[in-house]
Order: sequence, then structure tokens, then C-alpha cells
Amino acid sequence: MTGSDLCRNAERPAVETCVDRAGVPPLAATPTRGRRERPRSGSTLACRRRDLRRVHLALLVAFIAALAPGGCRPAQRGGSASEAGVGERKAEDGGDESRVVATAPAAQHAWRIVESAGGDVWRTLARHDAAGGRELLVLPRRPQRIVSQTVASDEVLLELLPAERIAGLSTYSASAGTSIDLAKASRVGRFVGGSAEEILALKPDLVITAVYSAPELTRRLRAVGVPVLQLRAFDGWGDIEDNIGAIAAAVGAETAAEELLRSANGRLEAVRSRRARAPAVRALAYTYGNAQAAGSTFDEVLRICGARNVAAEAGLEGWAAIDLERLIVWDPEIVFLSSETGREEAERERFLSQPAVRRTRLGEPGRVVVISGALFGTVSHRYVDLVERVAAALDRLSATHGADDAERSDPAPGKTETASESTP
Amino acid sequence: MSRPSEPESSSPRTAPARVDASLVLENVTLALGEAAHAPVLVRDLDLDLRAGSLVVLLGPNGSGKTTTLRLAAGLVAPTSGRVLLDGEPLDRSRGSSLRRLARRVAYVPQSYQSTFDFTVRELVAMARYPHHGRFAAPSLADRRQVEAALERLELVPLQHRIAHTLSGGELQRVQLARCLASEAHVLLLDEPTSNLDLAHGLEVLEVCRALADEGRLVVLTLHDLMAARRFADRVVLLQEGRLVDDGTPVQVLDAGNIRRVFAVEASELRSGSRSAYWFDRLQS
Amino acid sequence: MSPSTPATSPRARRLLLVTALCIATTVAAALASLLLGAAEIPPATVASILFGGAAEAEIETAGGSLEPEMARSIVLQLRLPRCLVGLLVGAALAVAGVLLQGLFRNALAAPGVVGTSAGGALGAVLALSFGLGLRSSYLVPLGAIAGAFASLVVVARIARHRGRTSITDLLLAGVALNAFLSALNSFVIARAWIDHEVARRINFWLMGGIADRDWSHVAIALPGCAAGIALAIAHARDLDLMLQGEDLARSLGVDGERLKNVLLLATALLVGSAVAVSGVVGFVGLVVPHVVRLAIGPSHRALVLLSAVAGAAFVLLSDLIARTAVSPGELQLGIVTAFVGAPFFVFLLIRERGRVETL
Repeated sequence: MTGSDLCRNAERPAVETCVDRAGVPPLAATPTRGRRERPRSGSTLACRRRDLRRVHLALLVAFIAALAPGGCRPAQRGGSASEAGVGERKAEDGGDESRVVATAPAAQHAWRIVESAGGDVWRTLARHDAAGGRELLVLPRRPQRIVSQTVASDEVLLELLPAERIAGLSTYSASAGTSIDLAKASRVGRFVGGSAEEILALKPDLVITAVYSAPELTRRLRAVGVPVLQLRAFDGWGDIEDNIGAIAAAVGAETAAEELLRSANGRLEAVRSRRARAPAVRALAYTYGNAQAAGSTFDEVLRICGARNVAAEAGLEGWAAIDLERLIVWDPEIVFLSSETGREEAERERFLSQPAVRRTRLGEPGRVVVISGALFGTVSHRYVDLVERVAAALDRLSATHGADDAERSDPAPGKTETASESTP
Repeated sequence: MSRPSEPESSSPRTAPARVDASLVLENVTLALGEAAHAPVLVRDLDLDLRAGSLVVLLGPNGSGKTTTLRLAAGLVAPTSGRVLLDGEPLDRSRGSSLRRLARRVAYVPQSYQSTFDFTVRELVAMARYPHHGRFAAPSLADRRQVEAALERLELVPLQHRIAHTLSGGELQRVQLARCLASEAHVLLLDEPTSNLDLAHGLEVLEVCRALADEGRLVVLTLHDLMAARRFADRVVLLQEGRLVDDGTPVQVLDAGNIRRVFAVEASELRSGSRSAYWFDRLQS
Repeated sequence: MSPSTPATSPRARRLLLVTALCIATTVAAALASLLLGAAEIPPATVASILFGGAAEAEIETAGGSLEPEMARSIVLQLRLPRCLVGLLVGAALAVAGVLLQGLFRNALAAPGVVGTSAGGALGAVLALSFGLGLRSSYLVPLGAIAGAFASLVVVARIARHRGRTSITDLLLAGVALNAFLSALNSFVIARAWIDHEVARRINFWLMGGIADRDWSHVAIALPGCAAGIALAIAHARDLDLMLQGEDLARSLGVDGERLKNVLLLATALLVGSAVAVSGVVGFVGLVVPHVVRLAIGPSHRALVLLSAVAGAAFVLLSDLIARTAVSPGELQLGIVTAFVGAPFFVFLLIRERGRVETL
């Protein structure tokens, strides 16, 4: 038997059991069965290769750990360890990935209802993923015991549903630092961490996770037949709308969601049109040494508010580390910082403690705006609150410094046209 | 400090002759631990060693030779009894007294391993560390001592070699050179001829003999009875941590002592002024 | 054979060359770090600001004009502290590496080995998670120094047996403590993650680097670094002797126990101070002493001094790369030191493998 034969054998069962990935009980059991059916030699080889990969991975991790700065970058190390874990799981799961039926390229990645109230199934949702596969979510009945594992879905559920239908929220929502709906969240009262056992103890009929939740959590829950709605993207308002729509479809709260989105879009439109008339302010969102540049959620917020993101105009993308000298040279008219809830003023003082920064116009009142991190990073419908908060700060700035800035503002190199057209 | 008295000679004397130097062990006992049945390495040892002599400690493995040397060097403190250097008890309490002691007593451990790539010259120069201050650079006198020691042991061609590339004999010469450069008048060497071939072993012993003749006190441990008989002024015979006999080689190394301590039957073979032993294991 | 020509030693000759090279590199790197920056201030202006010359009316830069007061602030409040912190951190980490490699007789020992870095990081992470970071900019650094000290006290306690500390025990205790502290660190961060902002603040600090440091950071790092390097120089020769074995060292006047304590203290001061102001910057303590030792030999007096200079140069040069490689953005300093350090280190190991014999 050649090596390639073995490989093919090892992979064959996975290909044969091409079914939809979504967690329905009979299907969820297939990976195990698939593995058992593998030819013995193939399976041992696969095991060996897996072990080898694991050994390589362990060696790599050990090497990195040994060489890493004093071996002590806990966050980094934690990160790499969990990445290693992911890699390992992916390796094990090679078959799992390929079980998704290859269909026509997907045009729409959002979840939509494909069938309603058919037989013993209440509703089936489907989405196409980027790889062209189709993912199904089969809900036997209308969920009454919903467990949410992301802050965003916590917030959306609390908005859409009565607390009785929510069996548990993520632990993040238990602290003032992340959740904004603290009063509402306390009505549910149950906060669960990422362990499958903890979640299963709540006897959920729907669990909402995110793509960044531990992959084995989703897999384990699906394996025991619990429907899991996994939210995939959180980049901007479009994704947030999709997520709210998916949650609403999965819990049967479409009307409430439509109302929520209509009002949110209305508010966004109001901000957009109001700010379009105001002069374009050169703004920067800066958290702990990082500028939120092109493609970041905050970049979109600034665009909605008619502000120019100086980091994006400088050609940076995503979260980009910059030093204060760069910040001073960019000379933004307003800076948005994030901080722990209740520590906003302290963070502002810390930022302005650097004499060189204080000497810029940022030293003037109203130009350093600190937003609590819970709102700053929100990916739920609270996004609209964030937009309004930013817009209000810009409004105040235009009212106090408008004329002043117009004459001082010097054109930044590499600026884009979006801003110049609205500069009076 | 006396400088070499024969500066033009090929083997300059590098240390002062101190005829009054003495190393005295008074009723010294060393036990491992406090317990009543703790193993005793050396028991009730009395030795009075004088400058200008080459003393060889003899005894089978585990007889306490190395421990005696370490006691004499101040590396371990006796459980009871005293060690006196030039009439004063060894003081190991402070760093400064350790450094003073280091200028007077040189010690060469049996096994030696250097970490990192120190050169011969650097190793010999380490003998001068106790002579200068923490932040001071080596003085000209320090450098002269190192040069003289390197020359005396014919290490000049090897001085920039890395220590662990040397042969066993060369390394032993480096150790001796370090002792010389330290200007110590008491040299304590633990099995300096182990791992050496015949010629190199003889060479080391000849150097030791010469150093003793210059007025130093040289104490060696050896396993070679014939070498002890030939080179030593005095032989100290140890067994299980106790002193068995102490005296001139001829007195101590008689057939009875050898039978008792080493469990071999020794027959002495003579040829003119030279003598050798023939050993047979005792059938017990 | 003249007795006063030790300079004929190839090592001694190389020492002069390497010293000159190290100092020149450090000076060049320091100058570059003062002259380069987002605000393109002309070198002459930087010089006049640094040496207290009268500021011109308006400073023309490539990107526009700059008020003289602003230029002064940028040079004196941003660039100069960053440069000085880089010098201090580089010197401290490199010397800490020298001390630990000597203490453990292992060229692969690094400041993280005895858990000092992990302890320092934990101290700082705890300070951050209790929200002290916002109270005063001194509290997080002090937490790091306290953590480094505490970890060393613990490791010494674990390793000490009947009043003595064996190197093996120390190393094992260090490894165990390191793992334990890293776990504690992860625990604290995981707890802190509940408050997203705190976790972000912690991550930002841990990623480290010397960007945006101010004079308070210089003030925090200076005493510990100076004391640590002074202790290292004072005990450099003792460390040489220790490397010949503890018995031999003792016979040459070194109190091994005391020396170990002093060196651990010095290491804690150096690593704690460095971690305090720069987070965790890796590889400096591993690569720099190793490279310097290959160049000038293992004698610790020269090794400590030159490693300090070379470490400073290494960190400043890495920081220059971090600042310029993805401009206008920045890289994390630790990433650059690892990227530059690791391949260089491997290259050196391979190159040196075949030539033990030669000097």
C-alpha cells in the first residue's frame, strides 16, 4: 500500500458522509461512525500522522516557549497554546470539514429560513458559508430555553425576548465592564462560562455561540443534539444586522427584530444626514497604542458620523499600533479612547499626561472623548448608541471649535476625497 | 613580596619561601550531620605539617584523604577540633577572610571541569583575583606573577588555548601554574597524577618536589605507593578516617602497614638505592 | 618573553575591536532613535533642542511646519525617554542574561529561567487587574519589581536545602515556578477578561515595547538597572571562579552561597526594572551574552560591560526596525527582537558547532 493509498483511505469515510454540518442528532453521530469504518491500517496511519503533527506542534510550542521572552508572556503563550489546540482539533476534524456538501457558490452568507413547520421540525435555517458549503440549523420546536455565549447575542436576546425564555447568558454579561443591559441581564440571573457541561445542565434547546468560541464547545453541543447557532462575522453594521436577523429567525422573534432594526436604521440615518451637513472632522480612535484604521468597526462608525479617520487616511488597516509622535503628527481634531466603565476620566488624564500630547489641540476641552469599553466594542444593536455617542461628541466639537479648526486644519498627506468634499 | 631570586633562570621561583609556614589539624573530626550515628568522614585527626616539605596522604578509597585536604583548605569546617594555619585558626566567616585565606592556601580539586571557553592564561590569572579589589584591574605585579607561572610550567606556547582542548597532563600543569601564580605557600593537591600517563605523572611530581624544596608546604593525595616513597618527605597513612601512621616514607610504608591498610602483601625489591614493590592481593 | 605584553592575546586584541564596535553601534542607534520619527524634525534642530540651543521661529518639516515648542516636546518628552528606556532595558536584560548564564553554567539560560520575568509580569498583571494602572503610572512598574523579587525569594526558598542552594535545584525550582506563575498569569488574565477593557490593558502592557515611554519610566528603570549592573560588575570575577567549580571558587575566596544570593538579587533588580518599563521583551538576555561571549571569551568583567552596551544597541536597533518596518504603523518590539534574535542565534550555534578548537 502506498502512502497516497493510505491517505485516500484515511479520508474516504469523511467524503462519503457528506452531510450538512448543522447539529441534528442523527447526523451529529456520523463522524464517530465514519472513523470506525476506516480501514485499520489507514486509521493507524492517520493516528500516527496526527500524533506526529501533535508532536511537531508540541515541539514548536515548546521551542517558542523556550525562546520566548523569558518564557513569560502569559497572554501570548495562552494565545499560542489555544491556537495549538485549535490546530490539533482541526487536524482531527479534517473529515468533519469536508462533510459539507459542495454546492453552488453562495451569494448570501446570512442565515435564512428554508422550511417552516414541516412534520416534527418547527423550523430549519440554512446559510451558505464562504467555502461554498451549506450549513443547516434544524430546530425541532420553538426554542424556550435559550443559552447565549456571546455578549452581543446576550444583548440582542434581552432586547427581543422575555427573560423567561432565556436559560442562560454569557458570564461577560454578569459584570459591569462588558454588559450594558446589566439590569435586564440580572433578570435572567444565570450566567454560564464556556463549558459544555455547564450549558447542558440548563437543558437548552438553542445555544448561540460565536466563531471565536471554543470550537469543541460547538462540536460537543451538536454531538448531543443541541441546536447551535454560530454567529460568524461581526465586522460592522451589516454583519450586526445579519446576526440580529439570524437570532430572530432562530428564536421566532422576527417581528420584534424587524422593529428593532427599523428603529436602529432610522436612528443611523438621522445621524448620517445630520452629520453630513457638518464639517468633516479629522478623528482618531486610539485604544492602548492601537489606532482603529480602515476596515475596523470604529472606522465605520466614524464614516457614518461623517468624520475622517486619520488612521485610515494614512493607509493603515485594522488595528494598527502607532506611537504618540505619529498621533501628534496626524494632529487629529478629536480622539476617541476606550476605558473601563467608570474610569473614563482617569483614562483621559492618563492620555493627556504626556506633555507633548497636551501641547496639541487635544489638550483643549472636548477633544479627548473616552467611551466605556463595553460600548466602544459593541457588536449588538447597541452599535447605534455608540454611533450616537460619537456623533454627539462631534456635534459638541463643531459647536465649540468649528470655526477654529477650519482654519487650523492642514491637509494630511494621502488624504482621501470623502473628507475634502464636505469641508466647508 | 620577594620577587624571583633567579630572574634569568629558566625556572624562576615565583613564591616566597616561608619557613615558618605551618598547617596544623588538632583533633579534627568531620561527621555528616548532627545525628549520633551520622557517618564520620574523618575522626580525631592530628597532623602538624611544616613548610618546605612534601607530604603525601595515602590510604585506600574512602579513607578520608580528600576530606582531610578539604578540611585543610578551609572548604569544610570540622565538626570538632581545629585547623590552624600559621598558628591561627582558619576563619571562613567573611568574604574578606576567605580572600585572605585564598592568598595563602592554594587548592587543586581532583576533578576539574571548566564551563565556557576560558583560555589557559585566563585560568592562571584567576589565581590573582583574591589579590586585587573588586573594581580594580590587574596590576603589573599580577601580570608578572602570571607570566612567571606560565613560563615555569612551560605553558607559554599554550597560553591562548582553550582549557578543555588540553590534554590531562597539560591541564594539570595549568592547575599547578595557578597555584604558583597565587603566591600561596601552602599547596593542597588532590590526586594530581590521576589520569596522567607515566611521564606526565612524573613531571607533575617533580614540579611538586621542587616547589616543596623552595620552602612551600605541598600536600598531595596519591594512590601510587612507589611515587610516594620516591618523592615524599613524609607520608600520612589513613584508614576509614583515622590516622594509621605518620612519618618518613620508609617508616610508614612497611609491609605490615601496607597489609593492614591496603589488604595486599607487599614485597620490596631493591636495586642499589632504588626500590620497588611487588603487590599480591591477600586471600581473605 | 617580556612579562608585560598580555595584549598579544588574540582575545585581548579582539576585545578592543569589539568594544569599539559595540560603543559605535550603540551611539549610532541612539542617534538614529533621536533623529528619526513621524515628525520629520531636521537633525540640526534636534541637536539644538538637545543641547539647549535657542529654538527657531518655525520648524520646517517634510510634512509641514511645526511649532518649536512642539518640536521640543517631541524630542525631549517622547524621543529622548524612549531612547533612554531602550538603553536601560537592553543593558539590564543583557546583563541579567550574563548573570543567569554564569550562575547556571548554561549558555541557554535566560532571565525567564528562574521565574523572574514571570514573577515580574504577574506582579504587573495583578496591579493592572486591580485597576492600579490608572491610579499612578508608578504602580504597575513597582508591581513588576515586587513580583520579580517575590519569585526569586520563593525560588531560593524552594531550592535551598541545609543552607545551600544547588544549581540543579535552583534550575528545577525556576522551571516549576515559571510554569506556575505563567498559569497564575493566565488565570488572572482570564478573570480579568470578564472586564474586557482590563484584559486589553493587560495585553497591551504585556506586548511591551518602549513606545510612548516618558520620563517617569526612565526614573523607574534607572535605579534598579544601575544597582543591578554595579553588582554584576563587582561580582564578575567571582562568577569566573564559580564557573571553575564551587570548591575551587571557595579556595580562591568566593563565598558561593553569598554570591548566588547577590547575583539573584541583581537579576531581580535588572529584570524587574526592565519588565516594569517595557513589558516582556524577549531574546535580549539570551542572544546578547552569547554573541558577546563568542566574540571576547567568557571572562565576566568584560562580558558584563560589553553585554550591557551590546544589549542597549540591540534593543535600540530592534526598536528602530519596529518603528520603521511597517510605517506609519509600528511593530511590537518583542516581535522584532525575536525575529532578529532567533535566526541569528541558530546561525551562531550552527557556525560555532564545528570550531571548538580555534580561539
